[in-house]
Amino acid sequence: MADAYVQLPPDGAGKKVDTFELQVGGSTVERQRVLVSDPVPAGPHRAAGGRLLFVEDFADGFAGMYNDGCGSASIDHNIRFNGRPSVRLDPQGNSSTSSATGGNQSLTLAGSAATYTPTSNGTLVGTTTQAGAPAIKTGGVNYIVLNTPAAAGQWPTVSGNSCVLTYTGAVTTGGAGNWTVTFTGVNLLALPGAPEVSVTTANQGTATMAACNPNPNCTGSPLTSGVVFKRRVCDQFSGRFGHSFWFRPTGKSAATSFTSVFTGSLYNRDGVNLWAARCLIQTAVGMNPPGGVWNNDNQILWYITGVSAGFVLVPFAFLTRAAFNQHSWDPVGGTWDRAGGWHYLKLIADFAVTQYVSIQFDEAVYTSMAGQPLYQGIGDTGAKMMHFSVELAMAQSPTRRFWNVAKVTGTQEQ
Amino acid sequence: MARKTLVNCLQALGVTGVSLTTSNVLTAGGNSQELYDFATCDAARFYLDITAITGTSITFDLYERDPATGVFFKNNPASDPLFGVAMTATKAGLITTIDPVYAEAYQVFWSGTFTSVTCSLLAQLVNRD
Repeated sequence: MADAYVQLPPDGAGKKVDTFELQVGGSTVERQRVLVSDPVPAGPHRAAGGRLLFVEDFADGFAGMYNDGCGSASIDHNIRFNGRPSVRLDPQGNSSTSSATGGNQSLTLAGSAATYTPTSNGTLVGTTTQAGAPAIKTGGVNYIVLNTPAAAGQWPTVSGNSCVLTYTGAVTTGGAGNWTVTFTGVNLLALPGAPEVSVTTANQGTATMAACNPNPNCTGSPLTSGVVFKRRVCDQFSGRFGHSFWFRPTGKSAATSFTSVFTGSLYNRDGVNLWAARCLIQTAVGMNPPGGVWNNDNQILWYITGVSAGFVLVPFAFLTRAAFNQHSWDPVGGTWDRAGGWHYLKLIADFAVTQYVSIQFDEAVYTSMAGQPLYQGIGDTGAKMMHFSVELAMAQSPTRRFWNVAKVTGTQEQ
Repeated sequence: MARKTLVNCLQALGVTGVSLTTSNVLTAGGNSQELYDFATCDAARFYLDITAITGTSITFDLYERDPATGVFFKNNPASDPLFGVAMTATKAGLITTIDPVYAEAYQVFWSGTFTSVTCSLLAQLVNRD
């Protein structure tokens, strides 16, 4: 069968057709690009876009990925996904106390009660009795989390709901053992999934706030005091890549407050810098829904940006309407639910421009981070490879807790 | 054909994958992390190599996990040439085989009146699926 072409009229002014130009039989022709696809579903769905680079489904009972951190990442036939084994991430009692709270500053709520809205531009006062001056980020927009605990007498908000505030200025006064921080330009951050558009503070003197980065957090570099379960693929910052996986908090109380640090990361190094896309799932966030009861089976999602020790975690969503830390499998702890509840996370990053593209958690695709710079670790001369990684550390506790991951997938994205 | 994979039985709790080595220098009693790789194999063959030893002796013990309590307990057969036996000199290719492997996890403990022992202890896991 011979090559041929059909000649069209001269170029018009209408809609453009996507082609690439090549030589066929001595003639310059336009070859049309065609994408076979299903219609975009109207309802919630798990995106599967992108050309597959690899799928680690652990089907034959062996892990092709490696734990570069502490603890273990082992094949688990008790917890299966799609009929195939999953991998249990278990820090085995390694505590990440010293390395999982960086950039966070806990303060006691002080001053007077105030109401904050997305445009309130108010002030907020916090105190601490620590010896050294509190580490408060200034410059640009920074964040404060008011996370409600079980005791209503310690709720930092009247409603009992947690929230994220932003501030643009902070002044620290006082001295050792008696510091006061006055935040200015304070607004309520209207995150997707946030239950309120106005919050009023409460319980000054007893309630606490987490200023700057969340507590605990994943820091900038891979947290090797926990599990760092990864696959490496070599690529010289050619373009967009995706990293997705399914996961469940498996062990009893696996997502306990101020303890679990669970992240998905997609990062590469160029010999000088580490460039990382990372999503942190802050668990055990308290909410007090109308008609319901206070509970802390809620989450805040964060992505990381910033440079080296100045890493900044940016919140981008609240998750309040689906179970997270329920139905555990932990025979030693007396719980036997093999099915559990699985979640899905997908990161897409553009390494050609070192920026985020999107982050999907379960059914929702978030694009508020699109175009934002990836975290840059200057002077990181580690392996010049792209890493598809899942990390689990236990901050501030050596208590045994473990999570499972399944179907780790790497993609090349448009 | 059986599939085989290696496990480093001297990986202590807190040692990262980056710094994991085959030949380790032990200067005090201790234990490995909990080795869950055994959950997926049919048999295991242990290989002990001691290239240097100072002091009197070192003894390796194999502990098995009770899945009901999570507690590890010693489970060395009396005739085992590797576990539960005091090693006083260098060794090359001392082996022990467990077939079948029943437990989901094992842990290796080492103890004795040694000053320094340079050794490796690897388990070759055999999967006959």
